[in-house]
Amino acid sequence: MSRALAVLGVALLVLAAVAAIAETGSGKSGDSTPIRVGILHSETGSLAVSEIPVIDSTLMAIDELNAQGGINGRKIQVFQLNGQSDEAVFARDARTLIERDKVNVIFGCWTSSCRKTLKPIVEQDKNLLMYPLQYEGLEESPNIVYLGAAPNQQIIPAVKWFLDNRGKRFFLVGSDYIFPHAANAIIKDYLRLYGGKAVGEAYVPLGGENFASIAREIKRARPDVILNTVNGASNIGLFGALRGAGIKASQTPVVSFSIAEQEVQEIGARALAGNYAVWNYFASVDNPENRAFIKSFQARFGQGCLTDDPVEAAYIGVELWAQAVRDAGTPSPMNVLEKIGDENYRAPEGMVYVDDQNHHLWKTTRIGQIRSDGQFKVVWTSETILHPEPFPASRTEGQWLALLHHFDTKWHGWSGPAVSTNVMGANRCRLM
Amino acid sequence: MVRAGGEHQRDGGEPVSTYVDGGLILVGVVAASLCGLFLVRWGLPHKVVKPHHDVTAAIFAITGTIYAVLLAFAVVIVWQSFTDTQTTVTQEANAVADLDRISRGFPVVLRRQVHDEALTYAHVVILREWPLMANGGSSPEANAALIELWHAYTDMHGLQQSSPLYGQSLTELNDITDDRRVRLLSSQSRVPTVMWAMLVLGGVVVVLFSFLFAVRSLWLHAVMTVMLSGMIALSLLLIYVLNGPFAGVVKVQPTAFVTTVDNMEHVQQ
Repeated sequence: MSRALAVLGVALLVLAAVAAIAETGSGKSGDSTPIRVGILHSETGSLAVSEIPVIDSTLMAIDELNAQGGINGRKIQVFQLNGQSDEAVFARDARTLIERDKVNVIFGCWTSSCRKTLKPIVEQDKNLLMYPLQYEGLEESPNIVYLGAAPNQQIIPAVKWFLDNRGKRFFLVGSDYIFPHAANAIIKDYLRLYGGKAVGEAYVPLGGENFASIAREIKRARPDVILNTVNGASNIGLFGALRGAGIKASQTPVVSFSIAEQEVQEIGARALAGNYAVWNYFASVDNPENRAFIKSFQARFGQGCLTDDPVEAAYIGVELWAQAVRDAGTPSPMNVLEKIGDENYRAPEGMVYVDDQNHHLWKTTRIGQIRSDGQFKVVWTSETILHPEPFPASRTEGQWLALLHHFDTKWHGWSGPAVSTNVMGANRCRLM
Repeated sequence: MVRAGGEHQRDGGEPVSTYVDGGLILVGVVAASLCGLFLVRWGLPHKVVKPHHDVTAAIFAITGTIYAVLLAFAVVIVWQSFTDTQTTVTQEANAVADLDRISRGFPVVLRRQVHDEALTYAHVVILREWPLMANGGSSPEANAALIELWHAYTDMHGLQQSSPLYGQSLTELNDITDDRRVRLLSSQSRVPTVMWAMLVLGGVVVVLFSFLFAVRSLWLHAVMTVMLSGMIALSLLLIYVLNGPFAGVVKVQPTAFVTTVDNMEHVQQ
């Protein structure tokens, strides 16, 4: 009798173990506590106009996931802080999100200086930053997923296309911080390689709006194309000064790397019409995924609210992260980072694939010409998705890192002196 | 961006389960044949089949010959396809390595660009495309990487295009492109369903015919049946495991690409 009971007991134990293994294998740990995620963008300051739609898009993706029951049966709980367009605030708030709020991921940052400020924090704390912007490259971090374009997915194709189609003489104008300086270093390398020429280069402090002298300089240099890496509200000053100097888009087009549909709406489409921008996504891309994305976005925030590249990148960032959490069976950042390199997603811009080595996305590149209605007419699309190459081949990785070190030493940080600025944003889209 | 090496699985041979599964199928087929033999001999005793033995032997000779030709044809085709694909893969990997080596005659920026893009292509083929080829698929990333490699050459400055190395590089690129196309087409090749039906039904017919021979000794008849059905089962198993060069249990491995990547990663650009 006692032997029979022992056998029965062992059988029950085995059954319990099998059930536990089956439960683990199904990806549902039984934990129903919410998954804590952080959103860290600027709701105030010079970058708010650009970052607020990105916040909206991130929240929309999270709400959609929660409406579907969350991830692996767990709802997503958002902890949102305001970076105030200030790197010091971003750094402080990132630590707060990780240490106090115990978030598993931060969806955040706009500028490269913000990302570079947060990079050591997420690396040290073994957390994860989903960064939604195109950037200058020259960086890789195991703890950052770069959702925007690397230089060979935006800057380099643009240089090539305008060399082939508009002329050899380029003027480079940008804000005085890491992205424009690094981007222009890449541009000058490729101009040399492809037989073009940089006929001038000028910077204004981050947030600065006085472009009168730069406009005169451009007029004197007589470039075929102006490559613009000016950020945020400063673009109002740039385009005003160009207009004042009589520089027309039909003769000397401005090719912008930081102006998308949101900024066009703020600056004024009529003032920008005829100029160009280079992105992976434009709202005018015609496919079922993009139509559904725009419909959801506008149903939530209003018909006047526009989607653009960073908005879309923020959305697909949440989706890719959610897929990786599902596959990992846990939101733990290091487990998610192990899985995220295998993820791909049919995004509004087309298929995107996470590169398993550098955590950037394989994406399609597009050049769009600004129309007077604020939308972009796509004039060129890359033949296929492009492999992200954070370190352009024109220099070795060591040479690029030395250049970055030079900027860091020069500025004691990742940007030159900033000035106070008018804030765009009268047209902000908020939840309906 | 150069990916880390040493992460790719080398060809480790077929998994143990292949032999176990194959053995079980073989035993099953032989057992079924023996059951059939006992059933037929019980229903049709020796004295019934003996008068027809000569006719049975003549028809068996024709049926057996037709089936043997069919079976041999199928085995040769799948084996040929398998070895051809192996050759194609090796040629493609060699062309990638050659392209990288030839690029050392170009200025350093172009050399670095070609090296990085060739390495990316090889990595993506190994890690992304190889698993997809099991189902006849292909990787958009591999396609993109190959097109980027082409662009590295088509975007070259006029001075470099006049170099004799340029023409040779384009030849290598053409080879890579052609070999990839052949590789992808091979990944979709399978023994057609109608062929499978003929092979299986033909095997059944041949074994059934062997039951009708007038062999006085049951033991001897059973031994002959075991050998015949076992031989046919083994041949069909061979066709099955070789069917689809990138699918199933015996498949072409990316060993040539892994070797190429290992060599390329040790080159300082």
